Amino acid sequence: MSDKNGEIRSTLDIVMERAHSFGTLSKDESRRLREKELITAGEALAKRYLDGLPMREIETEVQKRDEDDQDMIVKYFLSGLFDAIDVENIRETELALAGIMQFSGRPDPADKIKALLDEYKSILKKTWKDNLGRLKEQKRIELKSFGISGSAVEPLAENSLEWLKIRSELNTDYNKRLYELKK
Amino acid sequence: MKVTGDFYAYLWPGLTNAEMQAYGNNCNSYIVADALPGGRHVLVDPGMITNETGMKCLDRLIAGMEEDGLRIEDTGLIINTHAHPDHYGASEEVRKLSMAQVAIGKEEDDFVRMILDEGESGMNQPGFELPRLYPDFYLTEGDLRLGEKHLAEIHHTPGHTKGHIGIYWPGEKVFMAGDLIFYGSTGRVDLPGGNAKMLKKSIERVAGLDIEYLFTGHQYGGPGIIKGKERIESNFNSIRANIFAYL
Repeated sequence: MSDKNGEIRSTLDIVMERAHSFGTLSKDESRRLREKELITAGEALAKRYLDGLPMREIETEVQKRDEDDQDMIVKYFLSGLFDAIDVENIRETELALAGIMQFSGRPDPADKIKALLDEYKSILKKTWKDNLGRLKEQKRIELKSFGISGSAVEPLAENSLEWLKIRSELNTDYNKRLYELKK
Repeated sequence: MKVTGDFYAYLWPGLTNAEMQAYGNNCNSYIVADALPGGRHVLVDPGMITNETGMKCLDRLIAGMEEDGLRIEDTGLIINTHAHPDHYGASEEVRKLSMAQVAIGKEEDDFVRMILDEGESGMNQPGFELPRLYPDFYLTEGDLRLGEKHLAEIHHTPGHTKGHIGIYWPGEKVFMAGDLIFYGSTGRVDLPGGNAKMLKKSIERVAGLDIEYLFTGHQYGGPGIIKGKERIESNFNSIRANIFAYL
């Protein structure tokens, strides 16, 4: 590898130069780097929590950090949990809400989000019930057009294109409202 | 490989221990060609996309079909005998390639959902993700009419799994057994949903059918297809005598 003066520099030379430059970072750059590291740590904790790491383990992980860093990590942990709230993933959303309520110690806005999710679940259930018979019959007709019929066939409505469309419209509407609350 | 009439078989190597080790696990796949309008096929048990040894199972199935002049894109229906990944793993991938409809027994779909939703069972371990399945319809005990030419009977055959199904084609006297019965052995009953008593009952029920071609789910040291009524009866007898006591 050669630089603009035509001198040959090894990869090690370049790494050493870059490592050296860390020592000369300005205060602002150091702060930014530190902040970036804490954001990553907070978001990673949120992901681990949503993957099943118990809350007490999360608390232990946070407490291991310098006291000055803890607030920032919690802030981005909570931000990661807010990002995970989505009506298309109720299980993760409920887990995220439980985490937010426990960690922030503030019932609001988690309470409002929970109320909205309950409303969503109830509307979804009703919409499903109102449409089920029609969607199944539609699926049966569709299968017949593909040459598939008989007493062994039990059409499924929930993966039908029409149900996916109905559900997607409902999800878009509720996700918009969720977004407003998350802000 | 054409077996009889419109029936084709794609057998996963496993006739010897060396073959089983070299190729790893995957199931046998079967095609009923040109069974649906527009010349579309029925595919029973697509198997995996890639197995634990890195074998490209789906590519091998596609290549085998091409040798017989069949295209995976012409699949119109995928039937999964049960929800073990070595049988249904490539189901959604084949759907993407062909826009086929997908079917399975209801209890099997419930089983996949339970594992995926709750992360339960030893089947969903780190490094192994259970494939998704989005069936278009369930298959229950009864008749399955396919186009103008074929009428199949769906038999609920629990034991290996709760919602396992077998497919009987009375016109051709073909029975597609999934993991109910193999040459000289039976499906395992020690996995979640397995039940020895039910397996024996299902085997006895199937033994009463008029079968000329027994299409099994695996070649575990024996042929994947048992041909001829006498040999099939003898296989049932051998299993009763040598395996039932150990189940």
